[in-house]
Amino acid sequence: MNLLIPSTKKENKKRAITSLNPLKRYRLPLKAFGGTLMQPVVVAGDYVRKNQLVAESNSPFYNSIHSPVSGWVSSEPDWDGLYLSIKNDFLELEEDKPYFDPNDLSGEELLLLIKESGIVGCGGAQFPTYAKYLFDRDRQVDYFIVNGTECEPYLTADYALMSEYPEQILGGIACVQKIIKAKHIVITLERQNKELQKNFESSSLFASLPLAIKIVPDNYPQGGELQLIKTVTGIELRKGVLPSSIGIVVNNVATLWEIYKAVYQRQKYIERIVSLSDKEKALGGNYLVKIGTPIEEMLKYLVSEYDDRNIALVVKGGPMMGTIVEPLSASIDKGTGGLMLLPQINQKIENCIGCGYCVEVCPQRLMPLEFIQQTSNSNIPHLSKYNVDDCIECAACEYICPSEIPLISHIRRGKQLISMLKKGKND
Amino acid sequence: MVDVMISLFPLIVVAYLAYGWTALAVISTSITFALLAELLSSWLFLGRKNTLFDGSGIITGLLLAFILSPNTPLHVVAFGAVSAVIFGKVLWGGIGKNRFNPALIGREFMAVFFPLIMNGAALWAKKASVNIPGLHGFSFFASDVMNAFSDSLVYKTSGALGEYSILGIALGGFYLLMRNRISWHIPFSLLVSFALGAWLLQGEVPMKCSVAGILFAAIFMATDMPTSPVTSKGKLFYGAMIGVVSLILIKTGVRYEYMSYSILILNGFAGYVNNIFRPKVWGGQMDWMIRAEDMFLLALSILMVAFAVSALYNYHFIPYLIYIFIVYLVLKFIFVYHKQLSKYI
Repeated sequence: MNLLIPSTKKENKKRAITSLNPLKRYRLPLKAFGGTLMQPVVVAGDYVRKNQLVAESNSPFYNSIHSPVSGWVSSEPDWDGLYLSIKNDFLELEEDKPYFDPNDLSGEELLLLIKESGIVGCGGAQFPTYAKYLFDRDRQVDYFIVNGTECEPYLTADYALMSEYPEQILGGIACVQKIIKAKHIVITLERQNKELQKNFESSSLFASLPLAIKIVPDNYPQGGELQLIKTVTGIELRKGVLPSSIGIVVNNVATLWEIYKAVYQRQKYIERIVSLSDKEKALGGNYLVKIGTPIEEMLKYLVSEYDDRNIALVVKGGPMMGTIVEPLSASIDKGTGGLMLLPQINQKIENCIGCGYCVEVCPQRLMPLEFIQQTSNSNIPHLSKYNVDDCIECAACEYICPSEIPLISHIRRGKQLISMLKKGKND
Repeated sequence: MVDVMISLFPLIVVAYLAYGWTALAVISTSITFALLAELLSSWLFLGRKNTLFDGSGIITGLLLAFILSPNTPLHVVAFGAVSAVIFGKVLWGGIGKNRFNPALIGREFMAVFFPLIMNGAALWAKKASVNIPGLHGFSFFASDVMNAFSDSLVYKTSGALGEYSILGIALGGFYLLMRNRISWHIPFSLLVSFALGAWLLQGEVPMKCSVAGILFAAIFMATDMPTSPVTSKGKLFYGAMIGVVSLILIKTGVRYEYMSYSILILNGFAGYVNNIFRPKVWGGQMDWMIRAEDMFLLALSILMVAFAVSALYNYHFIPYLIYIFIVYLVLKFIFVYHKQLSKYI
């Protein structure tokens, strides 16, 4: 892993978390892990309360989403079942929350609570968190890795969280530890953020758990699960192999914060921290926003003169792995750590010159340049031989390419070709 | 591109010191005709008008000039520059798509189409045009021999235009390394394998080789990106094989063109090197036995081609090889590359 990207986080790290005011309406995304859509359990016109279940799905894992406010389910717009709209009545009426003593819960009860709170991985993949703990309890978990390594430039959502709520994160860690009983718990921090170390160490909870803090290099993508596992444990895990099968569990810090809130505040996963970066005006901030916040409304609220500016690109996520979105139709989902406003990119694609920089920076040790030719020719055996499915789509190759070749598009197309072939074989 | 020009600049100065305006005439003719050829052929064959701006035409012209004698007639230099650009770059579909080093292609075309001039003794009888015969700057060592040797490392007027200062070549190489334009693998393995081989073959080989020529080729020619492998281990193998092939060619009588031929031969195998030396995927397994076998068979093929080229050379069949190459490339351009211009690989 040889890529060092200028972090550009200095300014945003200093900004304290502020809450976004409640908005008139929320558009809850219904897409779940695995590409399936959650089915609504309410219909248009229904009144829902805050934290009430509004949609769920069962395959491949249980997924659910809850209303972040009280109000009425709206009939429009839903864009073919991709979203469920809720009109805020600003009363903040909550669902009845049956009391329980958090410290009384057993490991299995905690797991059930995590499942029913709609908690998914906050790092971007949105994998249903409870499913990570479904392994055989006889298996000893050697390492519980807490991923505080927010390696994409500009993003500071996890940093802000660790800065202001370290105790709560430790509380979340303690809950998960009750389920998985790991031998070692390691909180990982990037070297550029090592000032956060004392936040954790000064807490009383710290001593009561088998905790250690590991400072990891600033390289990109150090925060990728596979790369982090190697840095902490020395084990190189092949993509596609479950970490739990070799006694390792990895969780993002924001996910652990959601677990804390579910257990100690009896909240479902209805809000998260998102960091905003406006490259042109060098503005930014870290915001507590509700899941389902329409991006257009959020930008109008936070960015002065938003309407006049005619922003060229809005990116949901970070500059490396984020996706360009249409603000009018997109909203904050459970995996959104950042929002970026970027000027127009003038991409001038040149021929591949065989420099090999992409090979040098690939964290999975692939040869991205090989995929350009093979995707154009639909050369599937070659794509398999060069392991296109092992790509984690971190975009380090695209970042370093001097010819500005859109490598990730080619790689995604290559993966698509292979999965189409597999599907064809199975039919 | 600018970095390469900067790294070659000291050598331009040294070339002027050595052979004055004659040297500059060769260099400027080469660059001018390379640029003209690029402008016209890019427009005619590729439909692009602005490729001059990437600077690669200038580099091709410069590198070609540096492997020529200062006595080379200017019309031959022009021919070489034009054929380097057309048959070394444009007909392949443009920069990045070429499979052989353009400057070396140009040089071979010159040798084939102007054999009397290029292979004649008159080309290298340059004492008359020497500008500054030698430096006598070193007095650091007690022994005169050491002083003279050190002087020759800095400046010596023998060889082609790029060979007059080993120090200059080395400095250029370090600059490119610092700027991360080349990696150390190819020059290192090339020089080590050549030195080792030469030492092992001591006495068997007429070892009057130009160290400067080998160093220049190792740093500026063998490291050309589109024609060399992309992985580190692949580069080490590639450099080492160039060293071995050069020694075979020297031993079998290819007296002057051994570096050009060895690099061109390995250029042809770069794709196979990429394949065999692909890195082990994260978390994956590698079958060492299969890899070792592949490596061995590839090395064997390369050595056989080396002997074949040497035989072709000794039986004076190289011109036919070039004629075949011309026909092949033109046909390939018309029927294949022409239709793939929008693809970027």
